[in-house]
Amino acid sequence: MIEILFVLLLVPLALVFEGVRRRIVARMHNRVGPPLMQPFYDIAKLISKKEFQNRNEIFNLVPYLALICSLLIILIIPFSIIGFDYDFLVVGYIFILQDTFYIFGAIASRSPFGMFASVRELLLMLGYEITFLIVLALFFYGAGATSFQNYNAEFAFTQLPLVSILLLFTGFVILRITPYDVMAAEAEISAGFFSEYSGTSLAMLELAEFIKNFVIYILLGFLIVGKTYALLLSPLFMLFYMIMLTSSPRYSTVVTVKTFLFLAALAFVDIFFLV
Amino acid sequence: MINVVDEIKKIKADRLISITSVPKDGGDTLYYHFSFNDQVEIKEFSIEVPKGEKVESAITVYENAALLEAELTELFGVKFEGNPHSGQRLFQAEGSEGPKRCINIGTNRVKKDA
Amino acid sequence: MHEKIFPIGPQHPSLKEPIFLKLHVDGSYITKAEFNLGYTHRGVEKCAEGYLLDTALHAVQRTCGICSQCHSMAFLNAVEPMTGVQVPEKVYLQRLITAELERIHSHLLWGGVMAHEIGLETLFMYYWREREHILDIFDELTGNRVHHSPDLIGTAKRSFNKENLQMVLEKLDLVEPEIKELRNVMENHDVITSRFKKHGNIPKKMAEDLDLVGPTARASGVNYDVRQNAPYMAYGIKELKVKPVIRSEGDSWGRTMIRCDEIFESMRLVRKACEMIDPNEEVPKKKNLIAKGDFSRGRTEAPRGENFHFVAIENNRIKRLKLRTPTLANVISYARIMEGEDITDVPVIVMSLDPCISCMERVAVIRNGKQENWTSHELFEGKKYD
Repeated sequence: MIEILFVLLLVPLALVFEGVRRRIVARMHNRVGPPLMQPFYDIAKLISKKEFQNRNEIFNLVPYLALICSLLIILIIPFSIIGFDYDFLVVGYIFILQDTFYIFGAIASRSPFGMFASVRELLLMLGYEITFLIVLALFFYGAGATSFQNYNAEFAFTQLPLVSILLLFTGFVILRITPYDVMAAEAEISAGFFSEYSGTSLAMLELAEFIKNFVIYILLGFLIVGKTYALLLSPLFMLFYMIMLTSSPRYSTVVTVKTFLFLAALAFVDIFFLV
Repeated sequence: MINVVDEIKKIKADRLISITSVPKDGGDTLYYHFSFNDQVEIKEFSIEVPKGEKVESAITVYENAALLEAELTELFGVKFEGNPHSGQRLFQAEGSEGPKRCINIGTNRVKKDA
Repeated sequence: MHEKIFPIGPQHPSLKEPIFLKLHVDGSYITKAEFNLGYTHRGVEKCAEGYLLDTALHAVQRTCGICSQCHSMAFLNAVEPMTGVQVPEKVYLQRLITAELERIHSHLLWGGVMAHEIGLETLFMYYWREREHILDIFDELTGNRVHHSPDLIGTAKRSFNKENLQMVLEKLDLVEPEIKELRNVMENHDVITSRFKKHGNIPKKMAEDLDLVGPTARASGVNYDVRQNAPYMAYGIKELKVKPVIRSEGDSWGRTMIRCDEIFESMRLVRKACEMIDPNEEVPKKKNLIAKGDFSRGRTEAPRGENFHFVAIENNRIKRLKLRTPTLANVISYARIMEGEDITDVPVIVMSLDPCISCMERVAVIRNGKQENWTSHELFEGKKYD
């Protein structure tokens, strides 16, 4: 019963986490940064704005579908509510489903920026999907569990070091850290698929992004260190990723795609050695 | 058509800086400004163009005259012959008529001193 | 694949000012490019018509925020010989200090925006942090951070004293080591060299045929700098002679390195001029001057190239003012160098040419003597142009 209360508090915690993240990035840039409650103000402001009359049903539905996916995941990680003991593969698919909805939204917006964004996002997904699912499977196979409720391994990185490193690399892509933010490259295609949304739809999309990012930070701790420390260690992973975010530019698209092939090859090799 | 190319070639300047038009009653005065690499002074070549006459384009001598003449055609109505860009709309969207000649108020503008 | 049109602008995050670049795209490669201007008409040339010379100077100084001093100096280059006034050397040196500091400030601004285009936000913030020091200097010397208008015809509004000059030298010593570090990043970072080199090529012949100006031409090997070829004001003094930076690559990286190097040359000039000024001398008071003659012209070296002003005078009032800004001279090359490039390279190329569109759009348009207000919808559709 108490777990349900915890889970309800997780969504505001995700927004506060985002506020802390922006503050850390600002300190790396040698400036002050916004107040900690800024994501709340952003969402409230976006909800109060007028929305432009739009195009077709898919375009309208996509933000809500994306939000549903991310809320589903936060019910499973880190505290699984009773009855939500799905297989880990389902969770992996729901992550990927959320990105697929973004692609639908980009194509449905019928703007040239959206078309370019969707093509680049497809290339990205081609890259990290395989590696991500293989890494998840290897962790669960090593722990001998099939669902997040039964995952009880502690300090898994001592037995599976290479897989842990692979997980950290795929984290770059899932979180859209530069150089992998070609989909939402601001300078070139003016933030790709977000560029046609406004008002409440944009608020829902932003909320889905905040929740998904929060879950990824927890997931890393969950798999690598263990269930009990996952929530406490998430700021540490966030710090690591923000240091990498602020210190590298974007390569050209071709070069970023080539790095995936290396990661996917490494993941395939790892299946045999299970290291 | 008014010929300017022969006289421009005689000047043998290194660069064409700009083409200016000063409107006056019944036409324009066109000034071509040239500069040389080793001289400080700018040399001018001026020509009077009555209303409605065409001027030969200087594009064969200096290639950047294309843009300068297109600007003059669009804003002042001075027509140049032989310029492939002369119909290009630089300052306005497609499907609209160019402006009439820019009305030059001259110096009778202010009643009180600035 | 069939051809589409990919619009860059009029509003786009990679452009700081509105310009409409229509790119005909085949997949991701560009086959043809066209451009449309005219989105920030302000009528500066018309504003100055019919007024006395001092008021016209006020209008000309506000053409552009980043390069306001160079417009002012070009106007004064045209007008001061016509009035026959004798300008003391201290005024010339003060104008030189402000102009060179403005060049430093413009190049730092440009450096930050360039880093932002490729996604390196941290470098952007660091460049603009150094720029804040330069704006503090302007605040101290002239009273304003941008649109500092310290000039009057024949004299200046105030004279620099000892504390001002000391502050200038202290700030320059503070800023110089940091800018050296930033220049190292621009020169040696792997991503920057791989994304900038061999994109946006301007061969030397094209630069000479089209009469390009500024760092864009100097990066292709053309040795043209107004301060060297036609020295004006204080640039004729022997110690303040300019050695322009010239490179031969002609691509975006060459243009980047030229601007990084020009900052140090400007710092040398400012330090030398600060030594040569006499801090106890006062500039003369403002006088009412009468201009004789028909027309005159003057030119200066703006941070982006050669700036040219043409002034026609009648009865001591301005009859016609024409500005030809360096971006207008360079814009003819935009369409030609885009062909064959990929869309991901477009922001890098456009920014390496350093457009200052608000300088370029200053031409006067009046229809039937009436003033009209346009809504944004009509501006985009172009319906009201009759």
